[in-house]
Amino acid sequence: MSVAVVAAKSPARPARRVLSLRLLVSGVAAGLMTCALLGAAVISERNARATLVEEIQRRLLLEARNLALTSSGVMLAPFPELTLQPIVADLLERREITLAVVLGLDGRVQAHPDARRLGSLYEKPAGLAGEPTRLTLAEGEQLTGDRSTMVASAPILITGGRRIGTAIVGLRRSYLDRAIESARLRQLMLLVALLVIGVALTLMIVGHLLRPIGALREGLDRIGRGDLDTPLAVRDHTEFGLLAETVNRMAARIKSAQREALERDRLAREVDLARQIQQSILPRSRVKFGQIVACGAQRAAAEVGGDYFDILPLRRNRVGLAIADVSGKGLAGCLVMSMLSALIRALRGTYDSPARLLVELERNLVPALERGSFVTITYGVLDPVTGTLRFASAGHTPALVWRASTRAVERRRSRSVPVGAIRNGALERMLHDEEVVLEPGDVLVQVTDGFSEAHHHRTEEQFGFDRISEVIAEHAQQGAEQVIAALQAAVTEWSGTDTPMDDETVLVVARDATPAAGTEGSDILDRLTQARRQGSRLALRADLAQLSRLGVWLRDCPDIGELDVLRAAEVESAIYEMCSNVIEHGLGEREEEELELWWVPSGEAPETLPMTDRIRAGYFLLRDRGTEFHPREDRPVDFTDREVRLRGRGLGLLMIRRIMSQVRYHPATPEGNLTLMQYDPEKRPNRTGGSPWPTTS
Amino acid sequence: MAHDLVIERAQGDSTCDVLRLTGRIDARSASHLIEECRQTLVAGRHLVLNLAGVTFLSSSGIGTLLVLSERFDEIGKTVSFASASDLVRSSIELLSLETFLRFHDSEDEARRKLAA
Repeated sequence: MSVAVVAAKSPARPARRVLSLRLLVSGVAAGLMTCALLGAAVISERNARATLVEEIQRRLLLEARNLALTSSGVMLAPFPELTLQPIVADLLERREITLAVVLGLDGRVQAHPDARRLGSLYEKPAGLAGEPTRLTLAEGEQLTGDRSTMVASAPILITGGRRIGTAIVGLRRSYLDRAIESARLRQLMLLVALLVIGVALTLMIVGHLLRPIGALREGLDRIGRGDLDTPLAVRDHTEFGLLAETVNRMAARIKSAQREALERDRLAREVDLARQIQQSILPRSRVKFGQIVACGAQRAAAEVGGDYFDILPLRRNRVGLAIADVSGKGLAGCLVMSMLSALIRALRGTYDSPARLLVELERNLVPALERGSFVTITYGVLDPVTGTLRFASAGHTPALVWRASTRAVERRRSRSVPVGAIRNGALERMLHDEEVVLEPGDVLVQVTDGFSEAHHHRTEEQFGFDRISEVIAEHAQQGAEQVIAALQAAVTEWSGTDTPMDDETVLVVARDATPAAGTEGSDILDRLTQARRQGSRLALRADLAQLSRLGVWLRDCPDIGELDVLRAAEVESAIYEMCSNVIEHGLGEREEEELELWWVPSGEAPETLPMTDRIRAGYFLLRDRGTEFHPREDRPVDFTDREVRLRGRGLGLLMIRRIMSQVRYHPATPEGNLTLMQYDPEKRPNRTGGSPWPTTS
Repeated sequence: MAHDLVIERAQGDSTCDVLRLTGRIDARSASHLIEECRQTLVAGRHLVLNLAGVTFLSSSGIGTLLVLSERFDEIGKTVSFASASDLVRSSIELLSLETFLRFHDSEDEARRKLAA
């Protein structure tokens, strides 16, 4: 049987808004990078501005120095303005220069963009203040400025360092501003370009590095939905790869645990179902039929087995009794058990012979049995009135019979193979009906091997049939239920547990100790009285030759005379054997001794009962005053033994048992030795076993 | 001991004797039957017992037939039982002894089997 792993689906939950870690990390990284770039740009811009200002100041000062230097050689010549004016004009051709003046030492203009100012005192433009600078100014140099102009002045010096004038150059501040603006613009463009490239690269790299997160999330979502078969496909050499491997291993373990849990559930359901089937088939525990109580019980093992028992009503007020042990366990064993129960119920009305029923049972059951499987079973038909149990045992445990008369337990072992064990007709060849008669007070017990094979909790020794017999002997007089309770308690104490390793099943049939008055099986002396009153009598001397009269007498017996030739011959043979036994062994063939024989027909009027039922209800009664006969314990005569055949003995008792349905011996009564025999015309002669040789009452 | 068994010796051949039985084979006649068969046993020949006239077969009689079969087997010879009635066969089969006794439907068939 395969197990389908049904992944449990997680219940649907509303989608949760989550932030993408990749986007978050990427955004944060890009943001940080942007801030860094902006910060760097700001600092860079300031530095660039200062540098640019300084550079322009330097250039301005340099222009002033150059003018001073140029003026230095010209100032001492006559008419320096002729030379200086063009120089100043050249300077002024540069758009950024707004002022270029050469002053003499007395402060009078030696060169000026406006020629009319030549020779006049120079008027410093108003509002000029010192210009902050990082340049190192030489002595006499100045940097001043206002909002629109930056002015640099340098002394005009001659050889020896004597100052002879001042060169002044002025720069349009807008030129400076434009330069600064231009630099700032270039920086901004560079910044933007760096930002774009940087953010793009950041997003790409971070996105690539964090890509496994997406795969992990998808994988975990699948696991959460119950898909344990698709591993996370994350090939990554970072911690993400390790995480994916760990998740895959976790998913595999979850799947394995899930499969084990499902299998445990399936097995538990199977055991529960098997137990329900078993309990539904078993009958109620106690049934009473007249003087007979039939009682069964079962204690199931932890792993349900295939034990079965049943108590079935049959026609003609008989009772069917069955107990079986199927070799398989679990649901398979229970299914075979249920088939067994159905087959027995179906066949019980067709087969009076338990052996024939079991043979037919095997024929129908074997196709459903697995190779190697078999069933041990005992099936019997009980006559509650006479206490006669006709049974057949296919490999089952021995039937145990406690005898009230001897207070001993007899064992009737099976001589056949189990049903289905050897599938070539062996059962049909080996299995035969046997009989046991339960006298008042007798108890029959049949168990399955769960009892006999229960192991001691320390020594492992099996409980065994000796101990079972002891328990039965101790409790038989307390009734069937008490026998069962005592057996279960004894095995529980022996094994040390309430939960048996194998099913423990027991079937008990007990006959009341006190026969009911007026029923068949009552006081033998009442029978004798009845025989004398209404029976057909034959008196014989203890002479074997007298037995030739039996045939004629039987033909004249009511009902017996209606039997066909063969059946009449059977009856004559059985009566002959019983009488010859008494004559030879009880009376020693002393012709002066006598024995009496009666046929007591049924009390019912002939027209109310069929012939066979009338004969079945009647009985033969033999009376003698010879030596008491104490029958030996029932032992089969083994004719396969040549020595047995050579002796040729033991055949008479065997013949009686196989012909008569019941034989009961009552030695040493006040009326002598009395032997009661009953014949069932519908009972076919039992080719093995048969009625046990009567025990004493 | 008086008994109710008549044993007629019929025509046999060089290897086989034939006895025809009429009446009851029981405890009283068993010894008589054995005695009649002893001659054939001692002579070392096969024996055919025709049971057509047997009206009753007791356990002693069955035991006697078994003993005869075993004794003849011991000397390598055979006792065959011919023409047994349903009554006789039924008594034998009741005790599941038919496998130990050789039955034939007729005397001729028994003789033919012995000759073969």
